[in-house]
Amino acid sequence: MASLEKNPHASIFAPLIRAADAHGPRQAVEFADQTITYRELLDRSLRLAAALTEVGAAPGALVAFSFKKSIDAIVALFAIARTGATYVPLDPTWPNARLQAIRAAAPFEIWTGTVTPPPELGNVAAIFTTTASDEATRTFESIQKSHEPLAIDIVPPANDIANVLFTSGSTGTPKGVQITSRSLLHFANWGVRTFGLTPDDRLANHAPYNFDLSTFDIFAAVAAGACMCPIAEQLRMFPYRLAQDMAARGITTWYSVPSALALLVQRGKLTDHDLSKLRRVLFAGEVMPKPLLRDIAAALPEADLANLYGPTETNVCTWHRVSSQDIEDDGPLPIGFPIDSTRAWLIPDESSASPIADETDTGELLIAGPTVTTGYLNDTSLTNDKLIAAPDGDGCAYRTGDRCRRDEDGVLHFLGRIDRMIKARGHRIEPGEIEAALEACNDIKEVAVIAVADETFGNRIKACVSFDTNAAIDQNDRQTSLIQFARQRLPSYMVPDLWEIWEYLPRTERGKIDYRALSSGAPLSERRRS
Amino acid sequence: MSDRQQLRDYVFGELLPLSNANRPADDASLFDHGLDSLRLMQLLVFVEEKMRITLPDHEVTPERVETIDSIVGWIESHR
Repeated sequence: MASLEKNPHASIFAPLIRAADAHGPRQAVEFADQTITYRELLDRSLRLAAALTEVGAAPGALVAFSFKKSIDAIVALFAIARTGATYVPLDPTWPNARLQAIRAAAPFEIWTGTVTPPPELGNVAAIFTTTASDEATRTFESIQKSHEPLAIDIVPPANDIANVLFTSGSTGTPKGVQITSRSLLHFANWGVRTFGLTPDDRLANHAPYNFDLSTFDIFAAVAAGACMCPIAEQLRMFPYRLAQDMAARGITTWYSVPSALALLVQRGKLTDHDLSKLRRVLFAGEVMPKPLLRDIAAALPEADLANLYGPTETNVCTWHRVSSQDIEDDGPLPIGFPIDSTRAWLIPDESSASPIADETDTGELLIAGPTVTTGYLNDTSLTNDKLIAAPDGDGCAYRTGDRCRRDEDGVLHFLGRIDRMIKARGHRIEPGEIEAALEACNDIKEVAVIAVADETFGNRIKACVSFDTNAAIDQNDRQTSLIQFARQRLPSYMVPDLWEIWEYLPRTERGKIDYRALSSGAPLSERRRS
Repeated sequence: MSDRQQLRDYVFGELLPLSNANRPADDASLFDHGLDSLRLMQLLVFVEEKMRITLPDHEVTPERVETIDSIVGWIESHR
């Protein structure tokens, strides 16, 4: 345990050792009708780690992590962490084309998941799943019998990269953000201190594993010795059932995107359920609309509300505790102040020189601190573009691409993006990635993707397309064909909700697509053909 | 137009667009055809506003919304 004290940020496995030591018999995870204690979680992850080590899991290796919400997912996560390998979360619902692009960028040879990898991914050397079993695949259950636990030890991952989270990339290829152990542990420990988490707390785990929000529920729960309660995917669709489930499990702490809270408050009929134990409601990932904030405050008067802010590259970097004043006034909710040991600067939007020392009251937000990424997997040029020398000379700072304002009290306010990135249902979406996917359709001549404001979901995605004159696509069935085409290439949250067919897309004088004209739409409607 | 026809037109024409040839049977799971949380809420709003039927939130369960058949049965129980 000496190595643990010397370097507490060496591995995300360290807090599990501590929790098993201090809170061994307490519940670590509760899912459906199953529970597992911290002692059992440690034991099971050490057995799986033994099997993973045999097939080459070690510092520098990438391990695919493709799970539905389950106890086994948490076992696998800590098993991978024990070996020192880096885990790569892949959503089980992503289409094969996206998985192929990710494997090309992150060439993993070990797969852990609820089910086996799709054959389109090609040969994966070692496969571990919770359900399927054949000659090439080993199940978690069989490993619990066939393997003794690996010794308790801390094996730091190569370059401190604990996991790689893939987000939408503007050129059409998803980009892998490298998240360090230091970032995850700093964020978790900050959360435990700031929100006063104790072993008696029960944290809902709502966000998918490929989403940085989920790292709070997992690592803050373990750091506090609290219990995490993963929420089954299907329950997320049924707010009334979800509220019932939260009440039955005695959830104390909730962290999600605002749109998930919108469903819960608008369709969960919260007055039917005893949610008096719910004391903290945290949200991040997109702008919280004020009417929704008021609904949440009215439905959950006992709960503390907090707005957490941060692109995946910075994990969470600023936060704001919601006051009664915030609920009353009409202005947008601030993103607040930097979290511990984190520095924030505003730099002129047009400036690209680094380092940039002059500070203004409005500009692009620049973040430095322990939660900031060390860069993108195998993409030095993008890394050099986004990570610049920090103005105070202490390490690197990340250019968020978010325009912000600092008010007279030093509070930060989010104003918007300086590029075209869209936030929808908490996911960040590069319109360029959707456009690139649709351009692969031979019949499409031009395509442009824009955001359309939506009361509940923040934004919806609209695709404006024009066709080749000799397009083979069925005239009457164009929209349907396009949706099917998009579904085979993009995750469902990136498939456009709205489609508009144009004869040709409006262009600016310089010949670029005129996104402003597309958004206003009306003046050009006579050119539309649908 | 019958409830069933109106519902099918909306679900496969707008909500989860599918060409006529690809539309599944009325007992096929809509979850396999892209029904997610956002689209489910849109479906409920359609039933409430366009078909003028109030569906209680506590009745929104996987069993009731999974297929065209189950949704039609649910709607009819509130007519």
